[in-house]
Amino acid sequence: MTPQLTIAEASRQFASGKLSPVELVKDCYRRLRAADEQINSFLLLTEERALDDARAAEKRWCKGLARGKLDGIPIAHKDIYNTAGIRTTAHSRLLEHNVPGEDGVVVRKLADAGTVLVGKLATHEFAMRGPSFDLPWPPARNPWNPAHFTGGSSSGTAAAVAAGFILGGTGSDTGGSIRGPSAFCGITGIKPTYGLVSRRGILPLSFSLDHAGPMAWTAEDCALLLQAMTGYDAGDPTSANRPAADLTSDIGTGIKGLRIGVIRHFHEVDGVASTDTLAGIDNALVVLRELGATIRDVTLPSLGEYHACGNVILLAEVFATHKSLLEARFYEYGELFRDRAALGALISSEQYIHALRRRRELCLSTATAISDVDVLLTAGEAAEAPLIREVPKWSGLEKPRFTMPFNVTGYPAISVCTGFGKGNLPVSMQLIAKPFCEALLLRAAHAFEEATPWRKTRPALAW
Amino acid sequence: MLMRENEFAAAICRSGLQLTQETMTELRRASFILESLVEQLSGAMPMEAEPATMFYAEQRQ
Repeated sequence: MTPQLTIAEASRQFASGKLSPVELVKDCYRRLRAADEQINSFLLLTEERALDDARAAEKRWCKGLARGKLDGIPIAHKDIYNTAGIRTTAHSRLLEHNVPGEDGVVVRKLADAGTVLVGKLATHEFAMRGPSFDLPWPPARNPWNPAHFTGGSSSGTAAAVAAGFILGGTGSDTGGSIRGPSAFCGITGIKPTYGLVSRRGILPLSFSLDHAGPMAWTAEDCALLLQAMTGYDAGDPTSANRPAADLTSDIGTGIKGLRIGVIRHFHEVDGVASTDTLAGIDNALVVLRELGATIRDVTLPSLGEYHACGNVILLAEVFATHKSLLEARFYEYGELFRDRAALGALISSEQYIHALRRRRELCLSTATAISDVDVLLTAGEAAEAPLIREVPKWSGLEKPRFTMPFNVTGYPAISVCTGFGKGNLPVSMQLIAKPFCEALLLRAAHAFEEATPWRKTRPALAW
Repeated sequence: MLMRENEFAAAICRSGLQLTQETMTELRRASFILESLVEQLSGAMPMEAEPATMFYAEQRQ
């Protein structure tokens, strides 16, 4: 079996003829068959199609006609991304037999780039709140220790990438659903600027907070995937009509002179992170300084204000999105989703509008705080992943998360592994940039990953 | 200000949801978490303050 590779490494091996896409995808399925019984990251496999696609990619590489670095790369989609002719369930009983007629925009873009679809991935039901044990499929588990939670809602993507079943995948992020599971599973996940990636053909949760983005083992791989996912889409009213940015050319050029603002009060006062997470951040700051960055503290409004604003908007919008189905089929949803969605019914129009007005103020405060720096830094998750059976029902609503401020403001943010805690599970930090500055964010994350050993350790699953 | 029992019942009734007593009890309990979130947003705001719906349009330019 081939060693676990990043997208960039596999692509180089395709180019040199050392590895074939068919060989690589077969190894992915071998790993998956040997270990996904413990992890539950996949809801559906598309092996026949994957092998056909890998053979086609192999021919293109042999003829010198490869479509780019993603050609022949095995990936998978969170099961809220519509895939033509392939079941798309949102991990819900309500869509257990749903087969879309068309690919979502991102699915189509990644297929056009030559990626090989391994299957569809576990999520929290309709991308909100888990782990649930009352759905047609079990929740995904953390490959570093299957007794622990993956985070969510892009749970299957994070687990499958960490386990090496796929080299990258798609996620969605409404309050931290890309960055949270990336943090808990020790991978890299970026939530791009609101409007950068089309959401057409992705099942919605909260239209003004939902973002689509990539998850992979490294920042470099996220850059390759995100580059293929972006682009204006006239069919998505929130899509940003601006020229495509080059997200990959600057990777590897270092961060000398980068100005980093640490939102220390977020992780030390407003939502206190564990000692291991804090140590990871402190060590990261040393590394970043050694790489040439300048570092100072910045102050934003309190984490609790973003948390309150984001969750009032989220619950109201979730209820609006799901109202007719909740009325007709309430008890067909899992308990976690239905109870949380029903809370949205208690939010008045005045409260929702008030939250939107507060959102504008928070956006302005955030813009001011970041004006004199290039990148902000805070925790990704507060601690290592908890035991999967010990996640409180209302978690994420009671305690503020470090990720929500950047859904409220729409700023791009990336989760990066900063080491391991006492439980031998990953800890993380989050880097944030100004709108549409993903290239800078990915360059900074890549520089950090190259300077630290954390990308060299994979979960010890038995193949 | 905490939502009164009759306000809670009215909101559930208006929602159109058909809920069991068990779910109602659970939602009533969770409504206190929601109330604490709403309270955090309840500061005074000038009448002319606009919602953030335009933010994305500005951001896109």
